[in-house]
Amino acid sequence: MSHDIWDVLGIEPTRDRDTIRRAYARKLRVTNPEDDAEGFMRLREAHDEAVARIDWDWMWEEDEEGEDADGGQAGDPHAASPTLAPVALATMERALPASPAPPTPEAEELQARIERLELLLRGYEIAPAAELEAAFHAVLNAEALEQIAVADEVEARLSHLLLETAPRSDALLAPAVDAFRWRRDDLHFEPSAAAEAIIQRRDFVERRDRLLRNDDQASAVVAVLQGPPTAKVPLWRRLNPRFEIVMKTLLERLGAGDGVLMAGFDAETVALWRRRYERPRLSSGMIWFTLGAPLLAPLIAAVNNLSPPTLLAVYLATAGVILAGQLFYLHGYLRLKTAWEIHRSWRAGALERIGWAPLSLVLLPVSALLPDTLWSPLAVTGLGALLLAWTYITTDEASGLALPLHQRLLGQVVPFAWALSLPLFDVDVITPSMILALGVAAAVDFRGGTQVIQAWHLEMAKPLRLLGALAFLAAVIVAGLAAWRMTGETLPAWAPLCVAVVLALAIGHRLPTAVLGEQLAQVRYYGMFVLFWLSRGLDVIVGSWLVISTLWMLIGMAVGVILSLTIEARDRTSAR
Amino acid sequence: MIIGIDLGTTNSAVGVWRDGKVELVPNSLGAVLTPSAVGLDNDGALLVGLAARERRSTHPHLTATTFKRYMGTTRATRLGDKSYSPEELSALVLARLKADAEAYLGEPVREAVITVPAYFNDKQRKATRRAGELAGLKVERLLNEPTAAALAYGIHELADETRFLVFDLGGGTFDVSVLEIFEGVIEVRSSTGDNRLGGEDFNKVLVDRMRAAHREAFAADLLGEALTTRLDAAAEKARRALTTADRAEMAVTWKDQAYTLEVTAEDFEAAAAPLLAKLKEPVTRALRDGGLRPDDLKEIILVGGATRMPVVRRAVTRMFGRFPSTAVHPDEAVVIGAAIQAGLKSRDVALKDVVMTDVCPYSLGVDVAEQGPGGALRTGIFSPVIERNTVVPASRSKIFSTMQNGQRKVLFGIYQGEARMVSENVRLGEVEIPVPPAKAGEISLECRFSYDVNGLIEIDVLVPQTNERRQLVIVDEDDRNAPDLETRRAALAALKVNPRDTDANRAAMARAQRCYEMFLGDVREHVGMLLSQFEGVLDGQDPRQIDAARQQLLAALDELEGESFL
Ligand SMILES: Nc1ncnc2c1ncn2[C@@H]1O[C@H](COP(=O)(O)OP(=O)(O)OP(=O)(O)O)[C@@H](O)[C@H]1O
Ligand SMILES: [Mg+2]
Repeated sequence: MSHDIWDVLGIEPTRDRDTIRRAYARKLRVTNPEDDAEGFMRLREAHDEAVARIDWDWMWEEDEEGEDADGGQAGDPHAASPTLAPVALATMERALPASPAPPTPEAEELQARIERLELLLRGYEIAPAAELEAAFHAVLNAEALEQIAVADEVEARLSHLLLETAPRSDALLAPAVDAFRWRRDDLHFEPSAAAEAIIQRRDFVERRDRLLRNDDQASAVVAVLQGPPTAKVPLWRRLNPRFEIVMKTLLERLGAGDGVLMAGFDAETVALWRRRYERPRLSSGMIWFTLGAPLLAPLIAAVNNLSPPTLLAVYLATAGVILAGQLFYLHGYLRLKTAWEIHRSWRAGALERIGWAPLSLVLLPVSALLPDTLWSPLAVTGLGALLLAWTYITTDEASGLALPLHQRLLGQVVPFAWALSLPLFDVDVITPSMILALGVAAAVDFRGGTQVIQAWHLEMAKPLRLLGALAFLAAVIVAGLAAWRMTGETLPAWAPLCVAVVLALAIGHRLPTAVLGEQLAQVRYYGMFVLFWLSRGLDVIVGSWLVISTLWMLIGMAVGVILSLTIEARDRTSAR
Repeated sequence: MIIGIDLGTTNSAVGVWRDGKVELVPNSLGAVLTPSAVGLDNDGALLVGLAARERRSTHPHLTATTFKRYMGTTRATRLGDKSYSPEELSALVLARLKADAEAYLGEPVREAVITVPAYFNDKQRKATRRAGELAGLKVERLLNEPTAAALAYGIHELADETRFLVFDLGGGTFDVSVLEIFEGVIEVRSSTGDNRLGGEDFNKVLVDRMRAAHREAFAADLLGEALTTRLDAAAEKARRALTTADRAEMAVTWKDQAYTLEVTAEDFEAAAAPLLAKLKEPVTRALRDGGLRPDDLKEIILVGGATRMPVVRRAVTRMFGRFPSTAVHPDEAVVIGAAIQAGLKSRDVALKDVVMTDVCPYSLGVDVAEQGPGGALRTGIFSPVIERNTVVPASRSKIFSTMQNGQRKVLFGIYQGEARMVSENVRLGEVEIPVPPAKAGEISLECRFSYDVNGLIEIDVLVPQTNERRQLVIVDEDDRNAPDLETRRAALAALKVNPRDTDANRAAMARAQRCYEMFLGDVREHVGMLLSQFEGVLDGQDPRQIDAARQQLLAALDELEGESFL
């Protein structure tokens, strides 16, 4: 159909816009939109197509006229240091005479303001953010800018200026995006290369700053990456799992050494750390796990009255097994199927989406069901290691934001509640209901994950978060007191109530977690795991699982709220 | 005969194309502009036009104005014991304009071209069309206001090859269109706007200042409608005064106390800065969409009463670095264009060679889901099928596919707007279509949108594998049950409306009453006397005497309060 556009227009193929327009106008008299909609649409399509082809041909002939306007200057890592400034000033001088506008007083004023901004951004002295912003707004408020043509020109000029002077211009990126209305939510927003780069950097800076605000490790990471490659990073810092996670995230965000985002970082240092993390290596999380997880084995053994030497042996053996498993994995013997690896980062399947939370809880019933022999703790720990390795591999950042909030919350809660209420039942007997409960839990937790809590937490206003946490603390205390009055396991009539209480606790315990953020959300699960076993051990002494669980909850909540209060207080002071 | 109607937020007008030229129809008071106001008189009859507008500050609860702003919503206005929807109020105005045209032409009128702001969305357009039908008019065409203004301007420039921009700031809406004329074709290249920005908003600026200045005095009635309308009227008057003078006095009488505020042009300009800033974005967008730079434009045409304000003119001048044109009459351009379009519609020979093409100012499309990296599903993403500023009529299609394994049906939500997420766009309807179960992505669906010259949207979804097809013509509930519209029309027609011939007297009375309430002391007494004199003459029922007395009354009032603008 496309080749008879010329027939529709009634002319020979041409690249002359006027001819096309004239032919279109002539045909329009016969097929106008009022009387012949069909015919008009055909005519218009032919016209549009013909006009579009003008450009194609042009592109064919004058090959490669580079459109790359922003020069993509890789930001110098030491841009903030004085050495670069003379060069920058030289570019500025070249840029200045670029606008041959008639020197009206307004235009001169504008020019002066732009020059001042350039000087602040490129001069020897680093101007404070407030001063930069003032200078920037002075440019934006210049009277001459009301003229659309001038505004367009200035927009382009400022974009380049901001890009070239990153990271010193970082404070101006967000105001620029606002002022120029570079809105990604607008369908028709087609950013120039420079605008695109600025938006990208703005996003990056925002995220980085958010990290820096909530997280000491993040500041450490950023400091490391900004420093020279020769700087030493203490081992304790490197061994902190958080440090590693932040470092990996940041390296990933930085992408393939892209110019805009790299500004302010030391390219060599970044490359060094990237190389470091690209090699197969034991992550710090893994190291801690290897050392820590087997601790549970002696605990179990203690419950089963084993002698100290046996305990040590159990510990070492378990650690050995875990380590071996990890090394196997790292060196490719335990690789996932490639298809899964690909899936993991694109379309995660059902199995991969079952988060690590329910999986770690699977350990509870399994262990409860095992006979009390030397091998059972070993088996449980080994299983735990496997599960954890599995979840470590399969949990990726973006998984599981697809289910509605309530479903995900439910998904998180069901296995937890079940596990906690387990003591209400006879733990040595496997009942179909337990299996069913677990099945339900796994199914509902399909695509579960803790991200939702974090997302929620970030959006909530601080006072609201605090209020929620405090209200919840009160509720827990009441519930705890109620539970306290129940005596042990001999209350079958109370059982449903207990389950309800535990459920409520399970939902609510997220609130303090939400206040605390990601870190505690992770620690919490380890904590639950450990405490479960602890409570099992203490069972002998106190005699009531429920009481112990509730006690633990209370303590955990109190600690959570106190911590969150201090964090809030710190935030408040640092925000100023 | 088809008439052309400019249905404005503050003023409406009607015109016809006759004998190769536009004739503007005067109303019963001899004026071209009829205020878009509806009120309830003391005797229970409805007043339309100036009489109603004059009663706005004395009877705020019995008067409805600026209802065009609520077109397409269900907001009800109570007048006495009945409540009216915005489209019914508009219908009353339209019916009055129709009656004026009939009186002028001496023949019944059944068809009309009605103008709407270009940036009116589908719902607002539908409501306008229904208003026309409620008034007993077949709406031959809904014409975009800036396009109408462009037609009024362009009809004299057909020989030229020009590009120009129409800047239409009326009482309640703001439109910008970029046009090109070539080879006798008037082509709209892009249209944008803000359907919530106009002279009324500038009044609010002054009202706020007045409130701030007399905070204590007004504290008790801050939210009261009575005070608000009064302040509004005072603001309107002061704002108009500022068009010709550099200072003006804003005066209200409230609870028999006079409050004044002196406003200078600079004050006003400073206070209106946020509004003026809002004018720029649509202009830039229209230029960008039209693929033109400010220098490419031959003229900037100002339309709409609010462009008379010097602050607006200055803003436009600054935007373009040159002076706008005043080639067309700011109040009449739109109605002239509507009348020309009416002529085009009736295939008048004098307009044989004029062709005009318009665009659809909004993007139209469906909601889709996207699978992001990491498998997360993002839903509610807007996928446009017809991009904004596509020349109409247009028909476009896009292919979509299923998202899930074994999916049994696909539900397309139909949206209009420019945001990437559908939640921020206007929802127009939905189409559901069954698909055969298959793997995700294996079933494709072709979704076709058609948009006709009147802005009527039609959607057609086809599953090529099964030849299953669903169609959706976006119609409003009211359109679907025509009898309902019929009964509503009958109900509206049965309302007692003040007859045309006593309109002038009612308006003069209302104005005198307003003045009576506004002035204090001796002046009030004087007005009271004038009023009772006039009432005496009215009782005599001698048309000639009444006419003379009315002229006298109006002249006396003119002297007291200056030329009336209402
Ligand atoms: N001389 C003047 N000075 C200042 N403003 C004026 C003047 N004359 C009219 N206006 C303003 O123009 C507005 C009315 O303009 P117009 O009649 O073009 O609007 P409309 O067609 O009723 O509204 P719309 O087109 O937005 O639906 C009012 O807000 C009025 O205050
Ligand atoms: Mg108008």
